[in-house]
Amino acid sequence: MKTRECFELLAPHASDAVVVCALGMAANEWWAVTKSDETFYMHGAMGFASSFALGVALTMPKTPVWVLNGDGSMCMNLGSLLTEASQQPDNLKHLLVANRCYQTVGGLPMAGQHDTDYAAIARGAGAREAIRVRSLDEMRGALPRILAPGYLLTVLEVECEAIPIIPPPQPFEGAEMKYRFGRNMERRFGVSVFGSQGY
Amino acid sequence: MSMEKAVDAKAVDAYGALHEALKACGVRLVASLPDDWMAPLIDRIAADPEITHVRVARESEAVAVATGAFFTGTRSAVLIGATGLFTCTGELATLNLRHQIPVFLLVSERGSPDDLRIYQEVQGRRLKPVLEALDFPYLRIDSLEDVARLPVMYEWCRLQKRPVVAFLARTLLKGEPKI
Repeated sequence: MKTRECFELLAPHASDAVVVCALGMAANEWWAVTKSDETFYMHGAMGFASSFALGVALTMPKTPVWVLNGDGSMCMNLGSLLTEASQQPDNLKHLLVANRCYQTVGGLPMAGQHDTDYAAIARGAGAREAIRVRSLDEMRGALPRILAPGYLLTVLEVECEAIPIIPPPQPFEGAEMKYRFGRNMERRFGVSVFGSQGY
Repeated sequence: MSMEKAVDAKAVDAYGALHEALKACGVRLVASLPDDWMAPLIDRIAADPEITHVRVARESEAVAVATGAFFTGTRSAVLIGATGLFTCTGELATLNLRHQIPVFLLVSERGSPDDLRIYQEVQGRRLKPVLEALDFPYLRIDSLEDVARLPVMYEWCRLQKRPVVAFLARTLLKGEPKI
């Protein structure tokens, strides 16, 4: 399955969730499907989107939090699976887009391209539940589990696609990314991210 | 009371004061990875039911966890050692500096002239110049009077919209070294 097709199945169910995207393909494709500025798109700190999402999930426990991670990102920070497993908040859904290549730099293969079982790694780190989804039909079948309460890591086994190398497609970045996401968090959930002077 | 016990009592006071000062800052989430100077403070935080404590496997995770918490309006802090801070500079630059997101880090001031551990020597000489190159402000806390000013430092960090490091001095945490 293609990443975009997979995200097109997920997107209609995201309205109540806080979504955090790892930089690169996950962020690019989620933007292509949703054009959402309620999402935080990482433009750096490769490997740490899931840690960012964990911080959101632990401090807003009644709100679903999705992290759309990439396998290239996750493999830069595999130890984060231990941290995540030690917390496993019920509202955190880790959706790992596994294309087994570095797609946004031309599709160069990752180490362990063919044999790595990310769900087994997550379970080995202590995750109660980690599943693999290999097709759109399996994705449709997995949606009820993904949307139900309870921590879950879902490996989305997608194709490595020959697509053009593009810069980040969101027409905002840096501080504007912070303020758009933060103001949306304030509007959507009634929290106070910024103080009376705006910082 | 022997001098050694007097020093120990002062250190206990410092860790307790730091704990209370973090609560006075409004901190409700702490992400940590210990070194031996920070461990007693982390133990106190972990036992505090009013603070969500996240033990991480790598220091940069603590930075990202605290950064995520910022967006729910939760005040947070990162507790790590100086060597760990060295490993975080890329993430602090590309996440916090890039997006102007404050993060407050309490860090052991390892490698200071009164820290006689050989493997901390480079950190002591090069860490602060690295922070200056990245335009990350840093402060030094070496007395209980400094600890009491932590809430002001914390607010200043938010205003700076970037990583701010508060180094905890050996004299505060451990007393004078023995030769």
